[in-house]
Amino acid sequence: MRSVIGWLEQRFNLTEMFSFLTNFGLFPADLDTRLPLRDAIRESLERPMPSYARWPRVLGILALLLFAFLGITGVMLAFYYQPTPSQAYESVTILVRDVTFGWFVHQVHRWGAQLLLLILLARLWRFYFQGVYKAPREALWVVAVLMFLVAAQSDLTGRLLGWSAGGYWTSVRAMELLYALPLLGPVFAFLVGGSSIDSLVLLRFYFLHVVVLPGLLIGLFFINFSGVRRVGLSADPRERRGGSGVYQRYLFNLLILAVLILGGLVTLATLAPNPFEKPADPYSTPPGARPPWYLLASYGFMESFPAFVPRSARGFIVELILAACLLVPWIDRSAGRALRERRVAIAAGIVVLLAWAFFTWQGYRMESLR
Amino acid sequence: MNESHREPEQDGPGQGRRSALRWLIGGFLSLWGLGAAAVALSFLRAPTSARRAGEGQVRCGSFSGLPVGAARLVRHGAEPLFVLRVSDTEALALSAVCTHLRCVLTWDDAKKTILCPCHAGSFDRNGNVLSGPPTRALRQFAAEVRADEILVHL
Repeated sequence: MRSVIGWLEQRFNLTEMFSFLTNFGLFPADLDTRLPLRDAIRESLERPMPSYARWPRVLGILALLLFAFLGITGVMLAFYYQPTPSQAYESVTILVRDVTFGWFVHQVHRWGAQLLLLILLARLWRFYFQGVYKAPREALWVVAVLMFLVAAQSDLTGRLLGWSAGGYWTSVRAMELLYALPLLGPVFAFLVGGSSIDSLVLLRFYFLHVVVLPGLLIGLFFINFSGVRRVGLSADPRERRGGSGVYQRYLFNLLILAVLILGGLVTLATLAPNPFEKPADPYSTPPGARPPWYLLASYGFMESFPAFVPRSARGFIVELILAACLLVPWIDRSAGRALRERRVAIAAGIVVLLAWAFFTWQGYRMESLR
Repeated sequence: MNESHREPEQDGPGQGRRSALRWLIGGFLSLWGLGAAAVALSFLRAPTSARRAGEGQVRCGSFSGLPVGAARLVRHGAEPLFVLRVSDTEALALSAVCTHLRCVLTWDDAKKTILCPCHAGSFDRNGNVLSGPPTRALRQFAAEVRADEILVHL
């Protein structure tokens, strides 16, 4: 093994080839490309690391881990999936029923997507309430918001692919909602290729799901971790900066978390599998067709207006909220990061959180009324 | 700095030629960029005519098999239709997609109304809103009866 690496090391700069990973959050600083790979990693492991490099500042790297897991299971699913309306449901059935461990890969992929979204959302709220978006970390906030949006789009495009009744009507609902947005709606319609779901639209959903959106997410992860390396992990104002610990310790903590989250994922996939649904029938709407949970709030919000407000106006308000979300670091000009220095921002955050919960419930309830 | 490697003076000879070249390069590159973007964007725009071909006329089944006052759901494309028999000789075609949130509507034969299964909207036989959240009437299509078959022109 050592001799193989030595042989390779004479022909490639392995450290340089490996060092791109430092931009994906695995290493806190550049590897020394003059050293052989093994020595460079050992040297990097012994670098001092601030003591604040622990929970909850690991949500980003956990998201990356889950994303990698989704990528692997996604590639596995792609070996069997056929993206046409007539074959999609059948191919998923074969995958789940006949392929050894097909059900497991499928469930892990589905649950992994939900966990990824939850982690990205938790990360956003942590950034907000702890004031992580304060200078010089404004860009990290913007990237975090974009990451959640792109991940949500990935989940949304994935829901249609199985061509099940629930997935199909969820997509119809979500498309109705997104197309009502005055500026972004036409962009979505352009990318997806129409408002009614036919074979071309399914193919585009598939392509967006397996190539375009994951590519965007990888880019966002890259920007995020490069940014973290530039501006550093955020310190809680109450914590003392500096301190003890080497990078190795951080890596071990991360490994423990990775094992925990993957264990959780496998547990969910085995003990709480998503039910297998009937095939989609484009000619009958099943009861309780709802947009996915992260769109329920916007859905409930859009439908709570009196009838005379045009849908484009409601959509415009949703877009304003989205823009405000992206511009949070420039809206909140309060001085410090401590809670008592940001009373207005914290109060606004709590109000938004409550409103979000309320409209989510509203959107959920709307489809339960019979 | 070495004297021989100095940049030419601002108003020295060759400066005009240099900036002209820079402008030309920039101009041509941006033209190429514009052209590439136009090609890529128009390529990405999904064609609509190809999908509409063959959709101009929908055959909606036999006319005599449909009693007067009854309706039939025609499973066609992404936008299904209702054909209703109005009288002994006439049929009417309505879109079967709710104008509120695109649910597929159902026909209530007892009340002779069109119902939305999602949010309890209802429409009358001509597609006008009777109750519920929809605000717009259903789209009507021209229907004709030819050799005991209902043909709908979209």
